[in-house]
Amino acid sequence: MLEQLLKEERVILDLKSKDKESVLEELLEPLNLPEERKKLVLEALKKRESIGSTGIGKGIAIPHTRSVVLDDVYLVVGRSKEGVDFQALDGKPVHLFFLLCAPPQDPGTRYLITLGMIANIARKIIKSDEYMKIQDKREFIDYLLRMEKEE
Amino acid sequence: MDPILEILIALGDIDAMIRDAESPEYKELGLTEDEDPIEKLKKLREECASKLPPNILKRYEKLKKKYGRGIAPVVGGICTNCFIHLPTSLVTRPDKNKKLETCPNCGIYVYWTK
Repeated sequence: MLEQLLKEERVILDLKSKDKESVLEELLEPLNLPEERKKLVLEALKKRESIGSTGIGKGIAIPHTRSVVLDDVYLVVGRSKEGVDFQALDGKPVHLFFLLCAPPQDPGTRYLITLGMIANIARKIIKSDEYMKIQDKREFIDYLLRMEKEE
Repeated sequence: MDPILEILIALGDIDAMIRDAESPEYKELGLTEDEDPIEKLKKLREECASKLPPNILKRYEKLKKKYGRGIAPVVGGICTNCFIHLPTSLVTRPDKNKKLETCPNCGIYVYWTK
């Protein structure tokens, strides 16, 4: 399932944004949504963040939302070398983002299952800083898939 | 876009977030530090719902009671609530989302994704 969602064009290895709102916007860019829909998804993401940051700590955030304006489940992975102030739970800058968004209803509840997979990967990759060193998008995807399978 | 449609979309998104937040699968993930995110979401919902004309809100709530949601995207000409292919006359119209519309089959408010 994760393999189907992880696409090279939805991996950003060098995020430019420095703050919460602009990084969410930058992470939405690869979806190529029309401006009107992009704005509505951004609003939904901000609403979700307003009830508690999805910056789970140790440099990782999993911003996620459902939105009526989406027609599929989308995953975008972004890495920031300098880190972003995302009001994470531990107060530290976030270096790795997994943005997941989906329509309100999705067959097979891919959204919640994928959220679980990402949370699981996140717990594994915080053990080293390997994810900060990878220079190639394909390698980055392979690394994440390897981490998913690792016990 | 129709301004009422925009509020209905926001309301639909919040309702979907509440549904997730209430599900055991989501709670298990522990993605929020807050002890009661549902209360915060319900407050957001109230604020959003208060911007709607009473008749629209009443209809939305009625639909939500019946189908679990009050608004659904139309994808590829198909209403994702009742899975009926909408008439070509509607699908090909250039002013989609410019006015508030409902599915002619199930009556749910619709948002055209394309």
